[in-house]
Amino acid sequence: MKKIKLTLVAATLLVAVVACKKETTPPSTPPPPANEEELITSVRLTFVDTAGIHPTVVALFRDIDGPGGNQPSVFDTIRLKPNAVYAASLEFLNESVNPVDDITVEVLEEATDHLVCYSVFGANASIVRTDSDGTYELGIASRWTTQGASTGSTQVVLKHQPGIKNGSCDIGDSDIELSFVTIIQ
Amino acid sequence: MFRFVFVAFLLLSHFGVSQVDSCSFVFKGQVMDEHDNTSVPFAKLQLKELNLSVLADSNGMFQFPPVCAGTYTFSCFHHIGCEPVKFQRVIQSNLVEQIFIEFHFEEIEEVNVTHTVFKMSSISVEKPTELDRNYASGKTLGDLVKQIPGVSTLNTGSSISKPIVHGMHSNRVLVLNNEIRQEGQQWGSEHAPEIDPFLSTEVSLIKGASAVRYGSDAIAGVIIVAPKPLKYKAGVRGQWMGTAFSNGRQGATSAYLEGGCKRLKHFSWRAQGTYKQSGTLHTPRYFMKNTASKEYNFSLASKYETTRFGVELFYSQFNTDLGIFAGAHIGNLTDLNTAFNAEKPLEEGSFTYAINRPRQHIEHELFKASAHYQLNEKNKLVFIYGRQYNLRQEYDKHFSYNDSIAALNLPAFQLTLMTYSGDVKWEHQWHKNVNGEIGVSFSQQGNSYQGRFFVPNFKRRNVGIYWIETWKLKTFEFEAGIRADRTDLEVYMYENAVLKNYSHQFQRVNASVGGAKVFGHHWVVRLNAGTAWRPPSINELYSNGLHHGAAAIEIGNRNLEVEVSKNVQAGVTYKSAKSVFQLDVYHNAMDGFIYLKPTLPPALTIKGAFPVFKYEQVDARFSGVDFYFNYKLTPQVHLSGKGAIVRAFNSTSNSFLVGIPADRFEPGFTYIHAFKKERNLVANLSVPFVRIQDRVEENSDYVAPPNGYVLVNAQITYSFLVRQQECYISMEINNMLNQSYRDYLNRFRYFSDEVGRSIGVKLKVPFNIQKHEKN
Repeated sequence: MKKIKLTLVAATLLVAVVACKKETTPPSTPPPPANEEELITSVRLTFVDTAGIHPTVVALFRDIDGPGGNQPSVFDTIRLKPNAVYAASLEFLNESVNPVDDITVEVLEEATDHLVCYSVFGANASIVRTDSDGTYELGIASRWTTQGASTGSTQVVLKHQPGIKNGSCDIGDSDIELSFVTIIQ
Repeated sequence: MFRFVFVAFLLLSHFGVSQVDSCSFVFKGQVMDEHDNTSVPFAKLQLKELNLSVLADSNGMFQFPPVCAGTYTFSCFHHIGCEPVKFQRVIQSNLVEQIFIEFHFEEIEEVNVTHTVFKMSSISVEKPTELDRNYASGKTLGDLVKQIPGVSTLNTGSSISKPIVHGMHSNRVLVLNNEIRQEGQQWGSEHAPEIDPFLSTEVSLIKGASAVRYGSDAIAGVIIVAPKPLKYKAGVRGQWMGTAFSNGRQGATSAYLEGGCKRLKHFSWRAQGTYKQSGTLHTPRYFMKNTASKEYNFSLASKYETTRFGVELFYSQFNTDLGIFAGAHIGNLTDLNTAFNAEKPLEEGSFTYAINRPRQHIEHELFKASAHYQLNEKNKLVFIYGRQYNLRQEYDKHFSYNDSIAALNLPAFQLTLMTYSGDVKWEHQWHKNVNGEIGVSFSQQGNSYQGRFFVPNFKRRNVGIYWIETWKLKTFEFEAGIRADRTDLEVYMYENAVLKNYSHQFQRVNASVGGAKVFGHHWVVRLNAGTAWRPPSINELYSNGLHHGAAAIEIGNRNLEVEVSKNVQAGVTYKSAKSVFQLDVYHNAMDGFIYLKPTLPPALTIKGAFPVFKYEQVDARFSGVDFYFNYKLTPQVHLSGKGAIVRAFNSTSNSFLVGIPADRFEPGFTYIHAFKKERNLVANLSVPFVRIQDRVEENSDYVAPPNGYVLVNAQITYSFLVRQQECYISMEINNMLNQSYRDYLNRFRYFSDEVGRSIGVKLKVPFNIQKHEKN
């Protein structure tokens, strides 16, 4: 009698254990090296003088380990000549991997979901986007027209607006937001 | 698999086991109150055929002298003036049973109360009332626990809610689910306990640091949840429950089947499942985009229990997919400020059941095997083994920029936590009036992550040993307990692409003492004091990075020491035939209270500047009052009220702590109409008042705390008995006036109002599938 009962109990136990869906994973296998996830570590702005007089200007922001951790290693000032017209192009890079991943390509592919917004404070410059996703402007390429010598800042914002893009900068998430010190002299 | 196990259970329950005839069978058990599962003392039990009667003791325990095999009729006279509960039993072996007594409102009125018997306990154990339980059924566990005075909930949107006890939450509130410590990623304020409220209907709360038995880290208290106990009864029966609510067009269905076989005495089983789905929720003015959710759970339980020996196996699975309100997932601080200043969320939603990004997927599995053995009348051994698997996946609003990564549809990060635990307890009685328990508990845990770093991988081992003794006299009780714990933590993480290994060790002793005394016929006074401590949690030690929901950079502190709480509380209860009143006051002094301290300068990132918070330790104190009353104006009309006040200070900097519940008071009005023949109509109106939380430091938060509010909730329930089983249908309206309001304890109060009016219907139908001949 006792044996039958014990067998029953054992059988139930077995069934219940088998019923567990997940395999036991060994606790804490350390993860593969960091940066498995995708980061945008760097933003590069390249200014080419349309008149071909002034030298090309490059402004870079670089924070290899992403938000938090170490401070950004490079955060350049934009230095432009007065009374000039520059064709500016923007690049987004992931420099934490080798080879460097150019995320600009992905943004261009998903142009209908993205918008780059520029705002100038204090500096005598005006910025116009010169590219488009077919319907709305995009802003990877832009034209910067400078006037008299001045100092201020330029905010560059990459908005992610999947399915909601309407040309406005007010909606969507900010994937990038950088304020470059801007000096026109 | 589900079906297979179910069939296996059925098969097992039909194996025949015959018994040897004799005249030495003992029927014993305990008389219990069905509503709150407490014992009913001094009931008289009668065996009609042999004209035997016995009296239960103060714990409701009774035992008949040995009888021959046969079918007998029993009556249980539980209260003077009440109708006895009658039942038949076929005795062919020793039988142990819990006799469940149900008090009906009208019955209580008939009782000629000359002396009210108290369930006296030095520690304050509280449960929601039956009415509150019905009201909360079909909602979250948080909603259920919130019915207890002194408990509020910390919400993230409307689908994630976790209990706050005495102003504290997360790692400071221990949740014991079916005798096993719930182990999820509790540190996160947006991580709710993974428990099916349809299954775990038995809820009680032990407030204060007096729960030495359950762990050292019950700083604010212990929430104990468990399924209804399995008890042997031949036949197959079950219950179905369905709920539907207008807001979110949500519905839930939950059912269980349980049974036992006459030929395999002492074996009982239960299979249970729940499915719940909700669409986009609506505030009075707009839809909250992406707030749909679904949940699917099941559990299986079996138990074999004789007079002296019992084994129980339990398995449950909890799965949920939650949409995170789109307006709250923000890229950076500018977005956050835009969201704050917007009159309504910038992205408006429409109704859908689809769950989009950002979303969470959570799975939790619990397997429990337990056994107990009664060595003799005075000694009992209990063994409990537990295994928990917890998976948490968080999907960002964005897919990855890289198409091939995006195509995998992976979560931004996922955490997998495995916990194994073992407990051994020895319950003993030294002396007629002295009972005690000595126990050892052990647990081992492993955590691993994939994707974005938020907390590192770790291994944790904990060993605890405790000893509690209770000295009980007729009107006085004294309890003392002591506990020692040791936790070892091994952390593995990459730093600048080099694998590092860090070890921490925490150990300490804590203790508690308490007493209760009955004064006269109506008063009980309780007093207790205790200490508790907890090691810093993994995020407090090692988090480092951007917390997306909070738009802040949180930095852990590896040098944190343990947090110690010294707690004193006093309570008084008055009970008479007409009224109940309970008041508790407490004071909790914390050494090394761990909190997030704002730190300058803000961190510059590619997404702009973010405020930086670092984990620091300060001294803090929490004090407060919880109260509850119920007064019967007439047998039909009852007035009730409950309320809680908490005050919390950072005593190092002499400032207010953030995130403390605002003062609240909830008066209620109940009308009970008892028809003939056990049919009841209960109408209930409750009006929660919540004051503004004005005890905050200036500029300590992004937005000032929202204004106070008053809501009106109403519920009407009709219950009736079908073949001795209770059915009910109930209708309720929450936020009847469709008030637009925000609650200080909702993390999404920055972005959105709370949900608007919701009309709900609930139905509970018990049923019998296979009935054995009258037993």
